[in-house]
Amino acid sequence: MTPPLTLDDAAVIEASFAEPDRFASLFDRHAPYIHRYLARRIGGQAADDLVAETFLVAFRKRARYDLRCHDARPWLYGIATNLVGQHRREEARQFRLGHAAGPGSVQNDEAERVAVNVTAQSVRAPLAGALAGLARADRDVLLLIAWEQLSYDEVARALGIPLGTVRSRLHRARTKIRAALAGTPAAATYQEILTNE
Amino acid sequence: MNELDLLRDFAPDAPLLTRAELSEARHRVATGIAPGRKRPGHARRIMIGGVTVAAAGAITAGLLVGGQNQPAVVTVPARLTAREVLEHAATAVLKEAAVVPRADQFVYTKVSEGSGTIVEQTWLSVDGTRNGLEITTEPGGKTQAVVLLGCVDGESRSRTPGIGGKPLKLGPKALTAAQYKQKYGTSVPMDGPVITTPCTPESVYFPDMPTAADAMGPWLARTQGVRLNDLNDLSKTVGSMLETDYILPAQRAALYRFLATTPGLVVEQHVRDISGRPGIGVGWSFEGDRAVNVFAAGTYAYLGMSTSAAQGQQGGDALVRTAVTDRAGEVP
Repeated sequence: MTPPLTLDDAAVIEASFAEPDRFASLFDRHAPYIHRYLARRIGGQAADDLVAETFLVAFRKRARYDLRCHDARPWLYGIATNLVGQHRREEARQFRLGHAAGPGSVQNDEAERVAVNVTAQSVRAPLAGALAGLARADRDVLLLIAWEQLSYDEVARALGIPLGTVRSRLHRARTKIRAALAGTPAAATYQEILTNE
Repeated sequence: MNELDLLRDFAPDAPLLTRAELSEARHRVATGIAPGRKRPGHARRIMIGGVTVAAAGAITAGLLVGGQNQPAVVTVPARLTAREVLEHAATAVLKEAAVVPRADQFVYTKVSEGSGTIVEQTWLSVDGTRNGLEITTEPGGKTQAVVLLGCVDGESRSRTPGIGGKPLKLGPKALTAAQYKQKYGTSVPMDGPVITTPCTPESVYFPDMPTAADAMGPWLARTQGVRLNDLNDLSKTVGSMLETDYILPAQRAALYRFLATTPGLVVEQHVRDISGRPGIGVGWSFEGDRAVNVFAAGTYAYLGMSTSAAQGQQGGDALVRTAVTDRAGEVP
């Protein structure tokens, strides 16, 4: 019995030139990851809208896709990143919320008896502040690597920039993040978490 | 400390959605790529009072032009150019009184999102050094309030989870914040130690913003990172600033007049903002979709930015109110 033939992304895109409906299978493969990336950067609600927009833009631009690249996800990340750049208000809001303090003290006796893994909230605020201070282009590179774990080469392909530019932007972003966090409780808290594990 | 690990471990919580949870978005995509659909850029249609009509009109209409307190009626041709609409908006805004906010005040904005069903009220510190507030009201009346930290003496001070100044314990039995809320029906108490983070105050009022149109481009590029050769980036930044920041009338006029010099903008008559208010749109194309900055019919007050996907989906924001308050949380 012949196993079912699974086309790689490049083959799907090529097939979609004659049969546009074939393109939808790229959504099934990659949409959860693109949505998560968008949600991290501009919030879940805006991500709900932009994930479809990302794939529709990709569909319209598919003639320019490099069919030698079998995995389309970096290309989709690049399109999503461009769309994020057009939603400054939502991204700024994410940073503000990352900075946000909680609603204030809540009286709850039982709370004292519970250990709560909430330290992340203490770290996210300084991180959000540091990220907000980066140039947009540097932030794009940093987050594609740190959050989405793309390789340098994939980031270069996603953003359409030379490999050397990826390296220089990442270096600049990491230096600024490190400087912003050095000596803050965020760094200490991070160490504390490591030792608690 | 490896900052990449730190970023990775503390990325904002966002789950990988299931196929079912993404079904609506998938339907949008499937509809959008279906053979035989109209190609983007063909005659776009917009809604007028629930009736779909062609966008352009050639009639003459009486329009109100002027400040919010003393609107003046002038007769202008309905088929205006983008430059003319923006000039009318500039002329109108210059009739408003310039109220310079104090550094210790807050810029209040009320914005509707999601077809007007979500209302976001925000109080941002004028000079960025005081704690602000954001209250979001969802459909059904559910509200969420968060404190937006100001940057005081180069530091933002953030309260951490805990009780009586002491942190909650970590350990193998730790709960996540969501689990805590589910178990105890209340948010995690935020009365733990205060942490401080180096920061730079982010002002929402720009005393150095030009009042001359020809100086606006360099200022936008320098301070807002705008790519001046990208109409979409420029127009969305202008809309975003009008919805978020406090811009004096002369600065807004210069902003409009600078935007008016940008090629590619087109007028869309009789549009509505996301909350349904009628207006005139100054629009542009991006990635096959359309967007408009909407100005009120009559007063040319800025109403908000609306987007329209090739498949007809509407999005955007509607600016309901901008004002200056003395306190965060004070509704003007």
